[in-house]
Amino acid sequence: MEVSASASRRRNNSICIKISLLILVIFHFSSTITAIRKDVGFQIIHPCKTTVQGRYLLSDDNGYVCNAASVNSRSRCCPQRGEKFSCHGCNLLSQCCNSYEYCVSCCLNPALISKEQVLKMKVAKPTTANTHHLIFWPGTYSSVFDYCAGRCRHSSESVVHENAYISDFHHCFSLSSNSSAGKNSTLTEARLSGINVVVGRQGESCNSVCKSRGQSCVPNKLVVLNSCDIIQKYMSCKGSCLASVGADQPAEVVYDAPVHLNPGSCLYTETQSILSCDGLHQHTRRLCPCA
Amino acid sequence: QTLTPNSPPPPPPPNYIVAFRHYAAADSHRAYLESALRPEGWRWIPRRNPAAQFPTDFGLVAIEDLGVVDEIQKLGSVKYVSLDMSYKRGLMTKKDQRRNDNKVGAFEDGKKKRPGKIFTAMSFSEAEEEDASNRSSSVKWGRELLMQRSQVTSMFGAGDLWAKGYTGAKVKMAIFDTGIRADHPHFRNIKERTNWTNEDTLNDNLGHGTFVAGVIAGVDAECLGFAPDTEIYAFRVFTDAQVSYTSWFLDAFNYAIATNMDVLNLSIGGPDYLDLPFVEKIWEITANNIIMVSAIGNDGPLYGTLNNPADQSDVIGVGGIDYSDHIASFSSRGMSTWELPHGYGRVKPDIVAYGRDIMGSKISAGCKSLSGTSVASPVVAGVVCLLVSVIPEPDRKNILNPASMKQALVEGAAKLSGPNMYEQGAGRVDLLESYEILKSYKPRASIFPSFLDYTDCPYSWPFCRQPLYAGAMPVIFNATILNGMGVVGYVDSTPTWHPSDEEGNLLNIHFTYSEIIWPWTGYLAIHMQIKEEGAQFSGKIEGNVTLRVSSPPAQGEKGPRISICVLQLKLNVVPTPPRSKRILWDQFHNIKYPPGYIPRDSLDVRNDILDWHGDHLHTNFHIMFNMLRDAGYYVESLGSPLTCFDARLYGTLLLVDLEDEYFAEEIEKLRDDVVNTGLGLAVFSEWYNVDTMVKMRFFDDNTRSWWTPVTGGANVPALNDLLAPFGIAFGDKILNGDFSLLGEQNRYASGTDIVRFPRGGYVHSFPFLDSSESGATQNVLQTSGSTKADSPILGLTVMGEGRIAVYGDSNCLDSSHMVTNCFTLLRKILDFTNEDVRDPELFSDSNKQDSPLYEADNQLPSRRTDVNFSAYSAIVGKELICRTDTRLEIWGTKGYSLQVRGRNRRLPGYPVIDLGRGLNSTSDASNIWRPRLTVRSNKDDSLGNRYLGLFYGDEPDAPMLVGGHWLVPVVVAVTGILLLSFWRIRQKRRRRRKGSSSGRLANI
Repeated sequence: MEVSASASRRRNNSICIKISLLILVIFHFSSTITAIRKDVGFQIIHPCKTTVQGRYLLSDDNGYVCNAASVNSRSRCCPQRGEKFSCHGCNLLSQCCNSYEYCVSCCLNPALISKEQVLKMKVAKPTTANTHHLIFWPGTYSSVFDYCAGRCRHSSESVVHENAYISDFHHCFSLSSNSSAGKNSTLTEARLSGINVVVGRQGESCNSVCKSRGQSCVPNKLVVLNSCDIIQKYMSCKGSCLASVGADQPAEVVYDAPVHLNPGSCLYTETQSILSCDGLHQHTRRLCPCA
Repeated sequence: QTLTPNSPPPPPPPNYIVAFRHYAAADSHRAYLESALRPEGWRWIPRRNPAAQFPTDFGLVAIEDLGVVDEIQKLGSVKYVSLDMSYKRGLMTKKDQRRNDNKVGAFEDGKKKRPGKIFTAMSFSEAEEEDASNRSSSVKWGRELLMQRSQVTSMFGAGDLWAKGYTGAKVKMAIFDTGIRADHPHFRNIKERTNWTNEDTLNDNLGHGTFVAGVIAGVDAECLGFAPDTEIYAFRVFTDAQVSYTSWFLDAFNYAIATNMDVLNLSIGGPDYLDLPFVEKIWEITANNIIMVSAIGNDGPLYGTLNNPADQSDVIGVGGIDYSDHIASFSSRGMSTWELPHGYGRVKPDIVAYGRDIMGSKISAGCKSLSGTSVASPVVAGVVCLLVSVIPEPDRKNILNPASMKQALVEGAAKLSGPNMYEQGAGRVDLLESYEILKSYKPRASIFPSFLDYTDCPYSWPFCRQPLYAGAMPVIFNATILNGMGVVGYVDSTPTWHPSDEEGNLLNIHFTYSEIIWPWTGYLAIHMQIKEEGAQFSGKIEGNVTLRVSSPPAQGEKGPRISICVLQLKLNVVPTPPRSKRILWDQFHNIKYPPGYIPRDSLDVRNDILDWHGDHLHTNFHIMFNMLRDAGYYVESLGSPLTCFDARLYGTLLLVDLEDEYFAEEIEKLRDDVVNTGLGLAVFSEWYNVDTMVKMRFFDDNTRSWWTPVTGGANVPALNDLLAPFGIAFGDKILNGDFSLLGEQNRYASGTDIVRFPRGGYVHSFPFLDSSESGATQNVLQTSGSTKADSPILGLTVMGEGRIAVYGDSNCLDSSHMVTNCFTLLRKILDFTNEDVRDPELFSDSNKQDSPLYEADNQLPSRRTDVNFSAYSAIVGKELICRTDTRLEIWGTKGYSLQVRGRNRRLPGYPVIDLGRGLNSTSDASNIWRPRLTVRSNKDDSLGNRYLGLFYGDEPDAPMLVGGHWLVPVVVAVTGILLLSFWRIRQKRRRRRKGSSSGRLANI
C-alpha cells in the first residue's frame, strides 16, 4: 500500500513538472508569434471586417483567408501571407466553392466582380410569395465585402431534397441579375448543377417523368428552365419559341397537335407563379428538372 | 399521446411486486406477510390465473402507507420490493379528442405525412372553455384575469427590472412563426414583417405568431410581455396550416444574419437533426452572435423526444413546467441522441420555464391562454430580451453572445427538487439571478453541468442509480463547454483530474472533447473506470476536473483570452458485483431515425410512425433500467461491436429491438461466449415483413423523395444470422393480441413469431391475429367466426454452458408507446439466463419441445435488396473497431479476439467463474487474451463525436501557408504529448509487471 501511494505521488509530480515545462515552451513560442503580429499591425491603415461563422477559417475584407488564432488583434486583419483573393476549392465556371471563407475571398477579386455592379444592386424586401426565392438584402450593399459575405451563405438555391446539398460546392458568389449575356449560360448551368433535365413523353406531367427515373421533380428549378435559351438546348423548337399561359410549360408542342396549337413550337410561360410539377397537356412534352 | 383530463379521479394505491427468496405456494407467502406485518396500510392482491396452482416466488400487494414498503424490505425472506408499473392508455373522451386535434404533428395518422419539414406538435389550449364562460360575467372575468395577469411576468420579477428602466429597448427580436398584424394594438415596436412562405400574406391567420410575440413584448394589461419596448421583426416562415420547408428557413435565417438580429425565437422543432443544411444554418446563426431560443418539444413525458434545433448546444433549449414547478407532462425530455452509441447524450433542455396556461395576445385584439413548450420558449426569449437591454448598447455585442447568455441563464436557474437533469436541465429560469450575473459579467468559459454528484438523487439520474465498480464498461458523462470569450475557442491541454484524497487515484479517467470549440460551445466527455485495485473498494471518490480554454484576443487585446473551467465530481463506488448480477445492453446495433426511415415497433401507433426516441437504456427504455436497478441488477451499455466485451464478466447479454447487421466475427464470438464461456443471452425481437414495409412507404414533399422503410421494427434476417448457430430463428408474422403469462395480462404489439427452436427447449405459444397480410396501417376487423392460430413467441433453452431466451416483441419494455409492461417476464428470463433459476410455469413439461421447431431456409424472412442499407448501418461496409464507449485499454482495437488465446489471466478481485460449473466445463481452454495495444485509430475516430465526422469529413485542410503561424506551437505540443504518452506506456508496463507479481502471490 505504501509503495503504491508513493508511486502515485511521484507520478503526479512528474506529470505536473512536464506539463509546466510544456506550457513554458508554448508561451515562449506564442510570445514570439505575438511579436511578429505586432510588427504586421503597424502597417495596417484601417481595421478589417471579417467573417465569423467558420470553425476553422475566416476571411477579411482585404481578401485573405486565415484561422482565428492568427488574426491581428489590433487591426482584426489576417496576416498578408498566402494568396490574395484565393479561390481554393472554387469552381470558377459556376462561381461556387466548397468553403464559405474561400467563396468570400474569391468573390472579393475585382477581376471577377466589379464594385460598380455590386453597389448598384437594390432588391426589394420579400413581401409577396413570388419573390421568396430571390436574394434579399436590405437596400444597397455598403461594400463588396458585405455583398460577398451575404451572397456566399448557403440558401434555398443550395439545397435539393430540402435536407441535402446539391453538391459540396454550395457557396456561390455569382451575381443573380443584370449579368452580361456572355456569363448568362454559366450562371444558368450553375443554377442547374445537380439537376437532371429530362424531356418527358407526350401528355406526361413532370412528377410522372421524374418518378419513372427514380427521381422527383424540383419545382423551384422550373423557373430556370422557363427560358427560350434553355428550352432550345434540350428541344428542337422547329416552329419557334412562344410565350404562352399554362401549367404545363416549359414544353414543346408535339408534331401531330392541331394546327392552332402551333405544332413543333416551344412554349414558355410569362406567369411564373403557375409553374408546377403537376401540369400536363395532352399535346405537349414537358421539360422537367429532376433530382 | 393522450392528454390527462383536468380533474382525474384520485389514483388507486400503487401496486408493488414483492419478490421472495424461495418458491412456495402463494398462500404461504401471503400468510408469511400477514404474520410479520401489521394489518393496516397494505392489502394482498390475489391473482386468479392458471399459474396459481404452481409455486411462485413473488406476490402482488397494494400499499397505501409507504412505510410498509420499508418494513417488507427488511423481512428475512423478502428479496426485493419494486413498483408494479402498468401503463394503460386511457379511453379517449370527446373532450380529449378535440384537444388532441390541437396537437398536430407531422403524421396525423399512420398512412399519410403532412407536407413540409417534419415538425412535432405545437402548443395547445386547455382552458378554452373557462375563457368562454368567464366572458359572460364581468366580476368573475376581472377577478380571474387579475390572477392570471400576475402569473408570468410578475412571477419572474420582471417588474423589478422595468423599475430600473430596462424594458428591452433597442433589442432586435426575430420571431420565426406564423406572422403578425402590422397594426396590432398590443405592440409598440413592430419594426418589420417579412414573408418566406408560399402564401401571399404577412398576417397571422392562425394566432400562434401573435401569441408568441405577445408573451415577449405585449403591452396589454391582461397579457403583459416581458420586454414591451423590444423591436419585433416578424419572420413568417409557417403557413396558416403550420407548414414550412427547409429552404424557406435558409433564406429567412440569411436575412436575420444580414439584418443583425440580437435574439431569435423558434418555437417549433422536429426530430431531424441530420437535416444538414438546416443544422449548419443554425450554427451560422449563433456564430454571427444571434442568441437563439427554441422549444424543446411537446412530446413528453416520453424520453428521447428532444426536438431540433433546441437540442443543439449553441441554442437555448426550453422545457415547460406548470405553476407548481412540476415538469409539465408535455415537455420533451431525455438526453440528446446525436452522439450515441460511442458517446453519451447531453443535458437538455437547458432550462425550464412556465409553459402551462400562459396568457398571450390574440390575432387582432384580446388575450388567450395556451400551453406547450412552444409558449415556454417565448417566456425565455422575453427574459433574454430584458437581460440584453441590461447591458449598455455599445457593449452588448462584446459581452453578450449565445454562450454568455446561456451561462447567465443556467447559473442563475433555480434547481427543482424531483426532476432529474435530463428533464429540467439547470432548473427554472430565474430572471433576477441571471440579471445579477450579467450585471458584472466578464467573458469566461464554463462547463455545464458543472458538477456530477452521484449522491444527488434524483437530479443526477441515471448516474446516481448505479454506482461505479471495477471491471465495468466506462461510464460516460457528457458535458457542454460554454465559451463566452469568443466564437472560436481551443482546449489548450488535456483536462486534468484532481482527486481530493487518496481514493481518487482509484479512478481511471479519460477525456474526449472538442479541440476547437465552435460556435461558442463544445463538449467535454468524461470516461470513468475504476482501476483493478479498487475491486473491493466501497465509498466515495471526490475531486474535480480542470480544463483550460483559450480564445483569440478581442480587438485591442494583446494576448489570448484564457479561462479555467472546473467540473466537480462526486462518485459512488461499490465492490465489483458478481457475474450473475451483471447485464450488458447492446446499444451498437440499434438504428433509429434520423437518418433512415426506421419504422416504429408497434403498428397500432398511428401518429408517430418513425423510431426516433434513441432506443437507449436511458431514453425510451429508462423505465426498464429503473426496474432492473430496483431488482439489484447492474446494467452496462455496449456501444461497439460484440467483440468488445469480456464475456466472462457478464451474466446476460441483452439484445432488444435491434435493426442493424452483424460482423461475422461478432457471430462467431457470441457463439463461443454462450456455449463455452457460459454467457446468457436474452433477445427481444420485433416485427419484420417485407410486404408490410413496402406498403408503408410515403412521398415526402420536403425532401421530395419516396421514403421507404429500410428494415422492420427489428432486423430479423440479421438476428437470424446471429442466432443460427443455436438453431433459433424468427419468422415474418406481425402478431397482435393479449395473452396471460406469469399471472399477468400481457399485450403483444406487432411482434414476430418463432419459427426455429432446438429440441429440449421450452416454447410458449398463444393465439394471435396476424396483421401482416391485411396491411400494416389498418387493423381489419376479423369476423367473429375466424380462428386465431397459436403462434410461438417465447422460447427458453440451455446451450452448452450458457442459456438463451428469445421473445418476439419489445414494446412491453419500451416506454414510448407501452400498453403493458413485461418486466415480470424479463426478470424470470434474467433469473434463467444469469443463474439457471427456472420458473415452474415457464419451464413446465407441457411446454417442452420433444422435437425441434424447424422452418426451411427459403421460408425465413429475407433482406430487402432494393434498399441501400450501408447508408444507415454501422456494420455494412464498415470496419470492426472498438470505440470510446468500451474499456479504455481496448480503444481502437478489434476487441477480445477468438484467434488469440493465451494463458489464464485472472485479475485480482474479479469474480471467479463458478467453480461448480468450472469443474465440468472447458471454459479454461477458451480463455480470452486481450491483445496488446499496437495500433490506435486516428484522432477523429477516438473523439467519439460521430456526427462531426459525418459533417466535416470532407472539409479541406487549411493550406500550409495559412497555417504557418500556428504550426510551430502545434508541433511542439504534439511532441510533448507524444513524450508524455511514451512515459505513460512505460508506467503501464511497470504496473502490469507488478500486477503479475500480485497474481503469483494470490496463487500461493
